[in-house]
Amino acid sequence: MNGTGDAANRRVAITLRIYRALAHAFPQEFRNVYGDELVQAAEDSVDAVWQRHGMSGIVRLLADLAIQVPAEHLAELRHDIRYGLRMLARSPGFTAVALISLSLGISIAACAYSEMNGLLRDLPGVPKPGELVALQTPSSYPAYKRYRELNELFTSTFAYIAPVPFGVSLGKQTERTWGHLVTPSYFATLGVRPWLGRFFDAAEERPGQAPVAVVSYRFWEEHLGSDPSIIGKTIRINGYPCTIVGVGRKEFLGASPTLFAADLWLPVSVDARVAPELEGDALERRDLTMFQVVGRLRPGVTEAGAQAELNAVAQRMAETYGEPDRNQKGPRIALLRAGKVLPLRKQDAPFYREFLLVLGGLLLTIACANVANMMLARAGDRRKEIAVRLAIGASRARLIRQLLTESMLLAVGAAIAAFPICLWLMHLLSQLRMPLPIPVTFDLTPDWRALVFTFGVAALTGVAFGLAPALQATRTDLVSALKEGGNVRLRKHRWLSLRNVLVLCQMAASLMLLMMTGYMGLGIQSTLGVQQGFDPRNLYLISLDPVRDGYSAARAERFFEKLLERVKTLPGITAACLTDTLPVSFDGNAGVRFSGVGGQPNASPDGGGFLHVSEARKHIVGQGYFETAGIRILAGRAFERQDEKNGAMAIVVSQEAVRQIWKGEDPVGRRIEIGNGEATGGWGAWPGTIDHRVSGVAKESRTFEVVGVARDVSEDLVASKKHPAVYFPLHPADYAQPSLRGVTLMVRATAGVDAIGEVRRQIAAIDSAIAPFNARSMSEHIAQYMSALQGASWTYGFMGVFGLVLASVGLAGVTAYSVAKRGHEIGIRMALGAQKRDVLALVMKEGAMLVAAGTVIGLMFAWAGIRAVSSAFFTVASVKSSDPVLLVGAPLLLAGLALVACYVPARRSTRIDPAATLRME
Amino acid sequence: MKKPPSPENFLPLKPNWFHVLLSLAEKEQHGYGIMQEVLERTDGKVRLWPATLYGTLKRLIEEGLIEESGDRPAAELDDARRRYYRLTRLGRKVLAAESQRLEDLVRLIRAKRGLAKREAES
Repeated sequence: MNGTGDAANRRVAITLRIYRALAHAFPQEFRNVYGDELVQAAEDSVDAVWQRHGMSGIVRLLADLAIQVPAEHLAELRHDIRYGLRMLARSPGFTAVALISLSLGISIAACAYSEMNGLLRDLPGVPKPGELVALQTPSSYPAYKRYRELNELFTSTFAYIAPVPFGVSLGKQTERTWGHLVTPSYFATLGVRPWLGRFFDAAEERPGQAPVAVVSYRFWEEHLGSDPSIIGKTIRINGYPCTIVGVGRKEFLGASPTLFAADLWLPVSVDARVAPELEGDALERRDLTMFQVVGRLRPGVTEAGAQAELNAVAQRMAETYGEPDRNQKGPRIALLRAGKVLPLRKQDAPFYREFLLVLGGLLLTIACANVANMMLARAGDRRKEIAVRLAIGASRARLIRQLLTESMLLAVGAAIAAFPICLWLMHLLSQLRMPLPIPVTFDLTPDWRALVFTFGVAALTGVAFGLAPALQATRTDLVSALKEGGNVRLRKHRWLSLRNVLVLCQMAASLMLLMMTGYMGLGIQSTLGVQQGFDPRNLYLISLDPVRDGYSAARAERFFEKLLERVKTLPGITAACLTDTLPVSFDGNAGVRFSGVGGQPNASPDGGGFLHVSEARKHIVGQGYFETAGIRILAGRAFERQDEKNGAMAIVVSQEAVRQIWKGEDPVGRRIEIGNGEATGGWGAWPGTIDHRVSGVAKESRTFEVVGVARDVSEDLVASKKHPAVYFPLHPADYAQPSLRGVTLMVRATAGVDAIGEVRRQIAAIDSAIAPFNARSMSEHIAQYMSALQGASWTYGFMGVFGLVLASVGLAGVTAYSVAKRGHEIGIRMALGAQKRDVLALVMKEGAMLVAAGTVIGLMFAWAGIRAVSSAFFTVASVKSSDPVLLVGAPLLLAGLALVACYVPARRSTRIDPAATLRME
Repeated sequence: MKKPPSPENFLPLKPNWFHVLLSLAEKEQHGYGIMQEVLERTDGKVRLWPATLYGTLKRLIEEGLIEESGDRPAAELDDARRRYYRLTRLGRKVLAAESQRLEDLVRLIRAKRGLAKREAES
């Protein structure tokens, strides 16, 4: 009996121990008031509970406590939020400025994140995207066939040609639609499922099948009226009927949705009449390297391992087939991460990630410093309120939490405003069309990740700008704060106070931001290419691609001849020509390589006997190009009809080419060896330079004869040193297989003539089935070409100005606070005979010191930042980081504005009435 | 100054609140006393567990329905740790209003039951 009594006592004792421990978790204020009573009530009733309910009673006693503890915390939080909202509502000016600064800062950080996220995102709807790797450079189909046998590396592989334009006829309209020519394993390797119907199967790899096509959801919705019974119906593609066998899922736009978004997929086995890219046994030729190769790595196979193995295979193939570059040193194959919307090399990804985040982070830092500063100033005003609460028993932690709740409220409020701003900005950015002939699309719409990021950043900033002021505000000397108005501090005025450090950071960060954005913005502005050497006025462009309208090569040739004849006779048209490349464009600047000059024998590459290797821009232009574009021929002649014959070898070179290659001697009549080289310079990586035909022409050099010298044309996006250019004649054979921008009809009209309309009418009169596209004037073409850079320079300008304004507001706040704080001291000084000027100088001195110190620190960081940026952006390499406009202008601008921001509140100090001060004393 | 809230705003009263107010209707009491009284009054059916009780007391004070009493019992009966609570005017009004509401409800139920009985008899 006694034993059970002991056991019961022990149970009761343990229960009470747990109870006391749990009761400690109540908020402090609750504990202070009710803690003891609560525990005593439990002590008094525990025996009765045990006797009446047994173990279940004990459990309920503890459960009651466990439920009430979080409830009390929530109640306290609710109270804090209500109180915080009341306090914020009481100073609407502060709240508004803080909300605006923060929401701008957060939205820009969120934009930076979305942009990064949009570029580095995984392919939507593709399982295990991390396993996908792509070859950086396209391969030939036979090479692909060799790679796909590497079963130890890949579970499956596919190859595709992209981008491929298709003329899709829907009723009377022909729509130029971008798509891919794919191996049947394309969809299966990606792991995507159809929305309707099926994707390709292995049977479709055999040639001679009836042409079939898969369309994107987008295409199905926009052009096929979301017809649920579309499977099995035919549409005309490039003039030939194709059966639709499947519709992709909504999010799927192909294996490379950023660079080559696809709405149409055809198997590579399709007849060459449907896809001119496949002309001439393209699947058998080793020299036609136009296939993007993607593989899904076997689990356990590393990217590096696969790359090494692929390189070995590529090297063996080069040796076996005696390819011209068989002795090339170094790796032949680099792998990209194909599971991303923008395939990048592993080592390039950090750049995209970090640059944007650094800019966004800088802005956010400035905004935070700004608000923290205002909070500090406010905390000064609230010293009395805080002291009272401390005096009546609130703990410091409790008050800090209260103040942090206020800053969190601001941050969350700002985030709520920031996310729509970010959505809108990113929508604008996504709309921006790149000046490329191919469908580069950036889907940068912020997704849930960006939303989470926005609120995460908001929470962080809430703590970042709230914690320091809260800590300082609650470190109050109760006696002095309560005794008096709360603003007189007898402590020595510290120069390096937290507030000043914050302003210093802010100044430095804004200067860094201003200089970096100024560097980019000014750099872009000042280097925007000036188009010279031709006459862009009254020049009109309209593109045609009759092969995609179902024409044969011969018919296309006849069509163009007829069209050109008719257009030339139109009244108001002074000149017209057909051309492949245009002056001013990203594309068409593929390079050619000279491997011998002046008829000297072409030294073998391994013999080391190269006399001279130089590269030039390649232009392919029709007869009358120079006349139509207004490019002067300085020596020799322009192209004539005889130059278009097969086997003809006439070329025209630019002045700069003469200067570089012939050292100024007259080249007319000389011969030159030209081979197709890789595209020159940084543009090599640009998708606009993609030309499936380049590799098809010849890897070996051919001899050409210079017939004329044309004036230099500056046509770059950015001003740069002149490039040599070589013009090749456009052969009628090229009409059947033009580049991705089609064949362009360029016409010069007299002013005021609707040249585009006239030309359209003529085209329709010859054959209404021909669908012209990309009709625009030369000035529109140039504007579009420049738009991306203009946009970028505006963005940078906006960010720089935003930082500038924030920094000024911050400094004004600090000075105002300092004036208010030292009002007493200033009053006494003035009573003792100080002049207004002296007082102003006294107040301004502090501001000026901060500005000076901030400028120095900012300059140092900015210099480092610019160096980092300029190494990454070749576009603005022509602006030096020591540009005087930047180096002197930016700090002067900031310092000037900062001093004004400082002066406005400082002037208030001169209005302090010494008499009033003395009366207070 | 804010207008004092109308008693109607609190209706219907949460059962815990009602029991606490009822316990304080006649005399001031401390928390444990309230707990005991409720237990006795309901024959052990309603037990206000300590944490719930004190949470309720805190909320009732915040809402202005009860207040701490300055009066203490005779020294030999007093426990220094214990606080005594009493109804405020508002609290009394709220209690009255809730009682009225419950009475009306009971009347309603009785009338309905009477009707049903008569129907069964007829």
